[in-house]
Amino acid sequence: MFSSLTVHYNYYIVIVLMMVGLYAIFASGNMIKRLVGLSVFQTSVFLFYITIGKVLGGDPPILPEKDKSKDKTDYASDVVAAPSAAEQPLALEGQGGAGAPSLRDEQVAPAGEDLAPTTMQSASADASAGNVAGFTQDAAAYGDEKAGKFLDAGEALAAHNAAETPLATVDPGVVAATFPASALDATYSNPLPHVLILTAIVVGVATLAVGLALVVRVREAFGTIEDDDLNLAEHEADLVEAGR
Amino acid sequence: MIDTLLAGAPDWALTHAAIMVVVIPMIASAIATVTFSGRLSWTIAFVAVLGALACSLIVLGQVREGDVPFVSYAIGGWVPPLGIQYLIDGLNAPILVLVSATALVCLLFAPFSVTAEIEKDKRSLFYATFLVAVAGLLGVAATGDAFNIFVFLEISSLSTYVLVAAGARRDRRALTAAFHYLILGTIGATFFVIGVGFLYMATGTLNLLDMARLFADDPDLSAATTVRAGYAFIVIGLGLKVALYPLHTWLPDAYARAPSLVSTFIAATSTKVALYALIRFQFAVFEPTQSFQALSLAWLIGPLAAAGLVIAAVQAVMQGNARRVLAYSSVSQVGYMLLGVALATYAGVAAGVLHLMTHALMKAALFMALGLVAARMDARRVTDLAGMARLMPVTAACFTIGGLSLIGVPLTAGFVSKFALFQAAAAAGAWWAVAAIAVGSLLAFVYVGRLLEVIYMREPTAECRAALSGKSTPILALSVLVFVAAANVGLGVDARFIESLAQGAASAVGLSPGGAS
Repeated sequence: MFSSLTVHYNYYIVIVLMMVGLYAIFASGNMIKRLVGLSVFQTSVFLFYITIGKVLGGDPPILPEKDKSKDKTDYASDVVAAPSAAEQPLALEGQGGAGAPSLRDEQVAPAGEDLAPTTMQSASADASAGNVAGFTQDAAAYGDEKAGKFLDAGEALAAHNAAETPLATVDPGVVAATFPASALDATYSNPLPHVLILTAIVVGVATLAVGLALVVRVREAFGTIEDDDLNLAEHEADLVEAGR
Repeated sequence: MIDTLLAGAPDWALTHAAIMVVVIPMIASAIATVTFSGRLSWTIAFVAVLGALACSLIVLGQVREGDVPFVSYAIGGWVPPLGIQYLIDGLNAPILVLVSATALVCLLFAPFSVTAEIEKDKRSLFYATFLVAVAGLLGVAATGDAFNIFVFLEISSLSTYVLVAAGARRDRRALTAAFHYLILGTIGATFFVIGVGFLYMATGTLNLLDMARLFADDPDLSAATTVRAGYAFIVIGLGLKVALYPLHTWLPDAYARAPSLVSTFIAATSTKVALYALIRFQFAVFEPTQSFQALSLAWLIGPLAAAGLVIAAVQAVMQGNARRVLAYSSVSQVGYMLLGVALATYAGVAAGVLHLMTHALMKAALFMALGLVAARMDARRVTDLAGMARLMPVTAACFTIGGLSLIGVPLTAGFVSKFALFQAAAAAGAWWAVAAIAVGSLLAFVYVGRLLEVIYMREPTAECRAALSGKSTPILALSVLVFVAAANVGLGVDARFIESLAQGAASAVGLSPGGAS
């Protein structure tokens, strides 16, 4: 248990913050304190997401632009081509276990190299269907018992799209030419949880804003923001409504 | 009608209908925010919702008649599962149509109601917020990405809190009701996002289709503790939004104190959309054969649904405020839907979805009728409605039809769905569910009967007569109400269309008739 504490201390902090926030919501008798509890509760969720995205020793997930003046030799000048059907989409995370899935294992390959993220592509994936078939599996790989209609949707989608123009993808050739090789080889923290947390923070701010606006209105209408007084006022109104 | 729409629509509409359903109300809400005239704002809202309804009908047509039984749209052209994907199949296409149709009906009824209940200078913002709520609900229903569901859930919830608080002019307790709703709703949504975080940890993806595939392929993954924790958080979070029994406490105050238009709209849509999300996660993403899931359906959701059914119905009988009766009735009816879902069979889920659709229709009629009364006089208590049948006969008749539908009288839509629930429960051998449904129907008879008795059997008070003597209900609002009430009866007589929608929904999540999932 002690080793778990030292290794997973972030998660323990998440739990503590979550419980403190929830307790503040339930136990406080004041509207603003309740909102503060809500904020603490939401902050624990932010910390949770950040924790699962952090890769120890990973850089911030920002690809630095190549410095064009220094290195002109491996800069393919006419490389901004339309994405061709033969390109592979940006590889996805491999199957995660209990740890943090990160992009450390996936790197964008220069044109010509073949990446084979095994979980995401079926053996028979056509290059032209590779974009979308990449995330479904061969019909043969399904047992009949397992294939539900919802999952059939993925297959049917792949088959349906195989005949159509593949969707836009990132051309690895362009990527390789624009970013230095060292940037492509480095280890990055997972950018997706960072993005999710930015969204969640905005949502939290909006919630706090609406909540505080309501507090102002309640203060104007009732003259108080203390729970006990508000309950009394509501109860009186209920009695008036029922008794009249 | 859907065929003509599909045939006549331009190509860009057919390709992008899935995203336009959400984008049109969203952009219109931005435009409505900067207009200062209530009428202009209403027009913008009306046009936007009409557009959203057209797009949702197009998508429904594409789902039902296309060569693949779903519509997939990759936002920005980014390939799923990395990009966000809108995946509309037999389960959510009807929900899209339901939300946009309800919004349209509410907007037709709105001018009369809003004029009476909202201050003049706040009307344009009211319609803008209404559009945000519509966009949010449509987004929850359309998207195929777990975190996107959270974002749209919060968008719709935040705008709903504001809409509920708009009732403060009539009753200042709308503000505390909205605050209570905000606190509980945010806890629910945050629980949901914690669950999504756990699922992301375990699977590495946010795309629902991808998660489903990973869970189906790897039973160890779907039994992992992380996934089970995610499941628990998601079920509780969505359960709060759907007003599962002990988590329903925000609902009665919010429905009772909000403006009539808002009550009508959210009673018919917000819990339904959350229920859709719950069904989607339960059956399409997670593996319902996993023991922890089967156990929680059978021992947690089922019993809580049955308990809520009965307890909320008992509370409905005892309420003094007319809209609180309907609000507790909504909690009870959600219990019916969840009971069908908890049976985890094809028939059960189809019956649950069927009840979802008919209940939206019933509650829309009931709340709208009360809204018409409230627009003409300040009627809150059940006794205020005394003698309405004499003073507002058409409204009272429509209220009666809605009430009979709620009880489940044959020839109404409510009967169709309750009978389907009965059959599904009996077929699954869940006699406790059959008993709960029977008791719930009896209690519905009591609380609806109480309201009908007051409306028909009593004399209107003098103040009532005086208040109602001046104005009369506009034809538009009245005809909308009559249309909704007539739809109740029409669907009760010929329910094949909604039954096919419900069955399409159940099969879209991977259940098949004749045996357990």
